[in-house]
Amino acid sequence: MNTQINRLPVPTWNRTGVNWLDQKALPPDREYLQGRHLPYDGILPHGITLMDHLPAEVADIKSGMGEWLDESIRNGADKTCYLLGNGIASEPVIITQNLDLTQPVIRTHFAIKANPGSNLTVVQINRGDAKDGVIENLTQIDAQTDSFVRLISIQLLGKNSQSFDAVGARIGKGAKIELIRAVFGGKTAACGSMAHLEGQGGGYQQDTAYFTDEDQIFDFNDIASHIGRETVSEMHTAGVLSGHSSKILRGTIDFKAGSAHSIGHENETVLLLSPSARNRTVPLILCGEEAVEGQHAATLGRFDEKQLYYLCSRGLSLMEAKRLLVEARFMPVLNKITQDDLRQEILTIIERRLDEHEISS
Amino acid sequence: MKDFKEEKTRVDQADRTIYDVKDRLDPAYLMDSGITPEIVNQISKEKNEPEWMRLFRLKSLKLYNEIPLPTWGPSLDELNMDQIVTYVRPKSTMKAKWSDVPDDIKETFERLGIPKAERKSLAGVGAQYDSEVVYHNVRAEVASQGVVYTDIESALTGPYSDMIRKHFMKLVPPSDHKFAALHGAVWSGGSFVYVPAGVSVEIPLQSYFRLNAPGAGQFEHTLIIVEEGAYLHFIEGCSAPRYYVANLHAGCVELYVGKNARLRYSTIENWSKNMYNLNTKRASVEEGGTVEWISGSFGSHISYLYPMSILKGKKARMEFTGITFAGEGQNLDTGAKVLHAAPDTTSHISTKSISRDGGNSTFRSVVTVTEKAEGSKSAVSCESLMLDSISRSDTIPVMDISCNQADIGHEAKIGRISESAIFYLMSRGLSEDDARALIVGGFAEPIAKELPLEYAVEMNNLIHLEMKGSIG
Repeated sequence: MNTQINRLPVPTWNRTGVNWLDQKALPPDREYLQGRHLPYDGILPHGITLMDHLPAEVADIKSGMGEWLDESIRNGADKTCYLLGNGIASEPVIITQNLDLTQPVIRTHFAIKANPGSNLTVVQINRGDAKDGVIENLTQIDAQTDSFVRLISIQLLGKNSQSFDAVGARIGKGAKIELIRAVFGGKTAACGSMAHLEGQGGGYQQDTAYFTDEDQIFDFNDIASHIGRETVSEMHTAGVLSGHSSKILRGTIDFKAGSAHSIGHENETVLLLSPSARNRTVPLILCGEEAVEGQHAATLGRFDEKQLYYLCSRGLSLMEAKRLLVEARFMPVLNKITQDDLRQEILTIIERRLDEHEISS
Repeated sequence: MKDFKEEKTRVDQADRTIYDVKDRLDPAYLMDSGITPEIVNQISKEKNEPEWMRLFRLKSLKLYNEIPLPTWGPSLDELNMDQIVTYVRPKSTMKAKWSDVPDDIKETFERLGIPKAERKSLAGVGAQYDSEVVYHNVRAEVASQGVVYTDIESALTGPYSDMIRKHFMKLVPPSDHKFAALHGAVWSGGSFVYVPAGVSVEIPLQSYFRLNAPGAGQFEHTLIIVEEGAYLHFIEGCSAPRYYVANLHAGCVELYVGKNARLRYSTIENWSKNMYNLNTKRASVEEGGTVEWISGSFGSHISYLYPMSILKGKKARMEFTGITFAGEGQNLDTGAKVLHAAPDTTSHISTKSISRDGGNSTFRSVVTVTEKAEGSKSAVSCESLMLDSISRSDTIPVMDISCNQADIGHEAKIGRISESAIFYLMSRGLSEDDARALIVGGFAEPIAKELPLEYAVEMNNLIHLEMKGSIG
């Protein structure tokens, strides 16, 4: 089995270094032993129950990080959380995982099966820090006919730890999945999602926000695979890079033969605050179907001078205008986080990073 | 409607008559197939080269044997280098008059319209047949400005030998990739152009490369130096008849654009559909200089083609305008690369691709902005048109940005011909196939308008030929 993580679906020049996650960012070499597989023991809202085993049809949903990591987590998880959605959930399921010295490695396998017509929201919060700490999550989602699943993934780790977040989603007829992702922490943060839009009229919306700092390495591999007819994907990513950090975003819209009348849109905006930061963006469109519409766009670099000029002409100082523009980038994601305290916590992190960096000069 | 159906069943392949005429194989010298040190030494001996070049070839061969095939891009598994003949010398030395070129070779170039184009609209022409240049000429008034346009072998041993040695395969070193190494080992033919400072060559120069021998490779080297403040438009054309064995083209183009100079490099590539086109093109642009690439890719079975521009001087500029048309049996992987290595540099890449009849078209690019490139701007735009669902069209761009004072934009679109646009044109009296051809022609128009009129007409004819039989 190929052990590369976050592989670009179609490779390009090796010297660009974007074909997969850099070896130096890989998780520490640990044996993936059979995990303890402790089930989730939190309280669940009405409309959501725990499954006592992983349904076979969910187990085979691939994430964007690659089969090796998927299998490693599936077989070696410390904890499992297999959720079943029936009807409309009364409130979100909020699962918080904390890294610390007593628990420097967390490996969790989430599965979400949304029965036809169900509607549920799951919030995953990863925080804490530990020397050589690692959090590895695999979330497999099976959204059946006309169901709706919203997954909110917030990563606020300290900078001694690594994070690997794999998401695989199968989207049935008329079903919709939203993946909301805010990634701020970790010395390495790797995320890989794959949406399998199998059912006619299925929809996938992904909004990601990130803010790198110091020597952080962020690595994303997001794929919307259009298989069924009339499927729609929207993937939007907004980020800020500072310090000596680096980031790679691989975003792929893949129209398979048979996905007629499907639409895929993808865009990324990146602001580089530091002359030492490095951004790599790799937006792919793969197309084996005639009757589709695919678009991607990327805007990378510095502040838009026209926007700054406008804001300054309305009475803001240059620094205030810059801060406003940075915060505005994160709003599409922050506005979808319904927990006020969590949203405020992220805003505080953004403020603190802006204070620490060139934006204040 | 009846006429339309009849035409569809009758025309299932583009008419390539003028390109597909095969001359009788009658070379003065035919090398054994394969690539060995003996063959490389023999090529060097046949060309009576200086010793440094022979050693350069052998060093390149060593690299060729060490470097693996690319692990990305279209499969090259069916390309068997042991069956490729790397050197075929035609039965003619280089001439400066068409009347001195042997009749059968001359007729081939007449059919392709090269002498006529020379008379009408070119300042000079070079014509290569298999491995050697058979004709080279430049108008006296252009030569009198100090412009040098000659075959590269003559330049290698003539008064420009030091210039050749200084620049040859410095932009594209043999270590760059496997087929650059192959080129370094077995290169033959090609053109050398030198435009002195301040000279503007108002009429284009053209080199045309014709590969006639089945199972052969063509490895021409083009080296162009445009000095400070000078201007040149260089046109490259190429074609070959179709055979049922693989042919290989692994040429190399190196362009040096001086301070405030401008070079436009136009290519209409129409190799036959048994050709592996593994060509490498690269430009180095000094302060205030501009390189403009115009590229039309219509032929070849498999193509790897990504002209690269190194913007090394402040305010250097690059524009790339390209179109790729992939039909049955074709896998054309094309695009561009640009390196912003100095402040205030700008690049603009605009490409269109059309896929039909099972053809596979890939746009691949990389825009690199180094930390030195403050104030630089880059815009990439690619549009792809799918004409059926048995074809493929992929877009694989990379943007690598290490500068926080740059503006980089990228956009790509993929889709099919709008049904409402077809409906509108049909409501105005056009047949469906004419409506589609008109829309495809309009799609390619931004490229056509960048070409000299004669070449725009040729490109439009090629599009029209490719579109026939694909409609409906």
